[in-house]
Amino acid sequence: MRVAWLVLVAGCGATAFSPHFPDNDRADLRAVLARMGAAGGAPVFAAGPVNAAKRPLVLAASRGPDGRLVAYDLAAKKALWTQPSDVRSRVVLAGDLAFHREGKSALVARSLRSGAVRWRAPLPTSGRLLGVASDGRHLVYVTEAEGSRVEGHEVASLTALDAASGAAKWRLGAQGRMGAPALTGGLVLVPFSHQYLCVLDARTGRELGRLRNREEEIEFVVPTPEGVFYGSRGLFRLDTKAVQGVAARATYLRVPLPAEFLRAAYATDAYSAAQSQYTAYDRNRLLWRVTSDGAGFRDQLVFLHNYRFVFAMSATTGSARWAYAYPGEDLVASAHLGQDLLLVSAKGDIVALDALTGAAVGTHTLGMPVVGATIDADGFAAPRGPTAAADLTETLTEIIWDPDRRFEQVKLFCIAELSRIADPRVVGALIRIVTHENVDRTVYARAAETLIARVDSASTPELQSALMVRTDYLAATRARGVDALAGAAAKLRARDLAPPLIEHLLDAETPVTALASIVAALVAIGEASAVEPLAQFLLDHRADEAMEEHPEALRAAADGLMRLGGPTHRQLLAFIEGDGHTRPFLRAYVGDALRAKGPAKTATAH
Amino acid sequence: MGGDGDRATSAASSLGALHDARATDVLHGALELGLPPRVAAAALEALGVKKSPASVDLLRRYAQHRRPELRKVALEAIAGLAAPAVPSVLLSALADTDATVRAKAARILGERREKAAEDPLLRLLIRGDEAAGAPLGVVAGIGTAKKLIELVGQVSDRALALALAGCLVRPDFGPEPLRVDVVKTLGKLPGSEPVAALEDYDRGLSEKDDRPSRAEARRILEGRKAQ
Repeated sequence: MRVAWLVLVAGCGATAFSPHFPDNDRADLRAVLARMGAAGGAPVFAAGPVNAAKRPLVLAASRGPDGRLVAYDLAAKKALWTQPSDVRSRVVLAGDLAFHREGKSALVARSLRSGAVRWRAPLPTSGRLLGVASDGRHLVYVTEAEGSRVEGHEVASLTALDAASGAAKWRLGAQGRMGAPALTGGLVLVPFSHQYLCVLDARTGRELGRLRNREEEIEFVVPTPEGVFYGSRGLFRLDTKAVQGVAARATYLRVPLPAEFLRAAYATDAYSAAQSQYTAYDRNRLLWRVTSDGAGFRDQLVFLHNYRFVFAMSATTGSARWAYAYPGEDLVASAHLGQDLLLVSAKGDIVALDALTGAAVGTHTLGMPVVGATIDADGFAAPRGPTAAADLTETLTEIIWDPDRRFEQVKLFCIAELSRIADPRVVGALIRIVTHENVDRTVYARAAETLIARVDSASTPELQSALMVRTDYLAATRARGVDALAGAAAKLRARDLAPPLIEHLLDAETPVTALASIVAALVAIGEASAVEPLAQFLLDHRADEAMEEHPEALRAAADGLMRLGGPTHRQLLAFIEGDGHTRPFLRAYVGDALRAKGPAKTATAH
Repeated sequence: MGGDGDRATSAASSLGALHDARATDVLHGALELGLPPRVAAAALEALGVKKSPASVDLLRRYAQHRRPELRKVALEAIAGLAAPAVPSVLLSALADTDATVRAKAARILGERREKAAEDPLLRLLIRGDEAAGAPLGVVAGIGTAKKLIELVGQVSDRALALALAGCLVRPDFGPEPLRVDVVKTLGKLPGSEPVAALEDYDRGLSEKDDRPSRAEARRILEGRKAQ
C-alpha cells in the first residue's frame, strides 16, 4: 500500500503545494470553474442534503465511555439508528456514508442506513487531524506534524482514499501548513500557508490552480449550494473575479459585526486541529447563506449563534431583526437550511426556527445529551401552521436578565439593540433591567445610560411607578436601580417624580452611591418641595465621617440649597460652613460656594 | 454641644440629667442641625430620658437615619413617649433591612404589647428573625398561636419555643384546649428553651390548679427527665 502511494504521488509531479506553483492564473481558474460546472463563472451545486437518500439528517454524537452516534431523520421525526462509538471528529456525510475519526487512530466509514461500519482505515498516530472531506466518491483528510517545524521538512499532508472502500489513492506532503479540506465536484480545495487556496484533482492529486489573497488570510473554504466561499474576516466567492485577490474587485461579502461579536466566525478555522472536532466554536458562530448570484446574503440576513441565543442580524447594518433564547442548555450545533434554522441543544433537543421571523416552528428530541452534531438537511422546512414572530423587545430583555454570567458581551449587544428599537415598550424594558436583581455591573451601567438617553415625557408614569418601589424587609421588596431612575428623572425634569425621589433621599435603605443622582435629579426638577428635604439631608449627614467617601451627594445638596433655597437657607449654609462639627471637605466646599455666589443668583425655586 | 466630640457627647448626656425644660430645647436644636453620630446618639438617649411628646417628630426623623445605631437609639427613645405616632414608627422599623434594628423594634413592641405587631412579627419569624419569637408570644392571639403550632420544623426551634412560651405564661391566653396544644408543641421541640418554658408554666400555677395543660406539661417534663 505504501509503495503504491509513493508511485501515485510521483506520478502527479512535484508541483502540488510547491512554492513555485503560479497563483491567481486566469487560465487555471477558468479550467477549475469549468470542472465545477460553473455557469457564467459562478459555480452551481445541487441544493438539498448531500446524502444519497436526500433525507434531512442530523448525526449527533455523545462523548465519554458510553459514547454514541445517532442518526436522526427530521422528516420522519425518528432516529434511524444509534451506534456505540468514540467519535473524535466532526462527522462528514457524503453519498450513503458517514465518516468520522474514532478513537485516536482510526478513520471510520458507516452506512447511513444502518450505522454499521463499512470500513476502517488507520490514521497517523503522531500527527494532528485537521479535517476530513468527501464527495461520496473520494475522501481526503489533512494531518499535520506535531511539535516544532523544521525548515525543509514536511509539515502537513493531504491523503486521499476511495470513499467506498477506504483504499488508499494518493498522498501529498507540503512544507507549509495545510488547512481542513473541502471536496466538491471531484475537486479538493485546501487552504495552504494561510495565504492560498489550492485546488486539486481529487482523482490524481494534481494541483489545478491556486488562488492567493492579498488582503486577508484564507482560514476556511466552504462549499455551499450557492458556490464555494473562502476567507477569514469575510467571504470571498470562488468565481472569475477571485484572481484579483482583493475584496474590492472580488465577489466579497462581509457583515458589519457589532464589537461584542467580533470573534464570531463565518466557518471553522481550517488550521485548528481542535476545530476538527465539535468544540466551543460550534456554539459561537455565524450562519449565513447567499443569494443564488452570490451578490448578497439571502434575505439580507446573517444569523449569530451564541451559545444559547440566536440573533438574526441585518447583513448591511449588523442590527438585530429578531432574537431567540433557548432555555437552560447551550445549543451545540446549528445550520441555516434556507427557510429554517436548525438548532441542536446539549441535552439533545432539536429546534427549528423560521429564518425570517425567529418563530419556533418545530421541535424534536434525540433522547440523549450530545456534544456536537452535523446537520445535513439543506432545504428542509418544518411543516408549520400560523406562528407568531419572535418579539424582539421581549427576547432581548429576557436575554439581558439571564443569570448566566458568561454572556456579558451578548447582554451589552442586546442593550444596544434595544436602544435602536422604535418601540414604546423599550423604556419599560430598560426600567425592568435596571431594577432587576440579577444584572451585572457593566450591563447595568450600559442599561442606565441607554435608559437616560431614551426617556421622554411619555415615560414619566413608568418612571414614577418604578421610583415608588421601596426597600421593605417585611414585604420582601427592594428598591433597585434608583441612581439610574434618578438620572432619567433628571433628564425629564417632571415634577411628579419629585415626591418619590424625596422619599428615597431620606430613606435609610437608599444606597449611598445613589444619593448624588437623587440630589441632582431633585435640583434639576427644581421643585420647591425638595428644599426642606435637601436641607434635612445636608444637616443629618454634614458631620458624619462615613460621608467622606461619598462627598458628591452632600456637595450637590449644598448646591441645590443655594439654587432653590432662599435667604434662610443661605444662613443655614453659612452655619454649616462655620460649625466645627461639619466635615472639613464640606465646610470648604460650602465656603467656596457662598463666596462665589454664582449659583444662587441664577436659579430660584418654583 | 459644639467643639470636640468627647466634650459634646458628655454635654449631651448631661443635658439628659438636667431637670430643666430648656435642656430639651437645647437637645432638639442640636439634633435638628445635625451632629456627629456619636454625639447624636448621646443626645437621642438624653432626649429619651426627657420623654417630651414634642420630641416625636425629631425622633421619628432619627429613626430613619442612615446609621443603624442612631435608628436603634431613636427607637428606644421614642418608645417612652405617650404619642399616637409612636406605634407606627416602631412598626415601620420591623421592615428595616438591618436585623439589629428589627430586633430592637420587635422587643419594644412586645414590651408595649402592641397588638398591631402580631402579623408583622409572625412574618418576621417565618422569614427567620429569631428576635421576633419572644415578642410574638406576648401579642399572639388564638389564630397566630394555631399558625405557630403548624410552623414546627419550618422556623427556628428556639424562636418558636420562645413564642409559644410567651403565649403559655399569659393569663389571657386560651382556651384551655389550645393551651394543651401549645404545651404538646413545646414538648416536640428540642433544646433547653421548651423545657424551661414548661417548668416556668408549671411553677407559675397555684398548687390546686389541675388544668389539663399543666398535667400535659408535667407528663412531658417527666418524660424528658427520664431521657
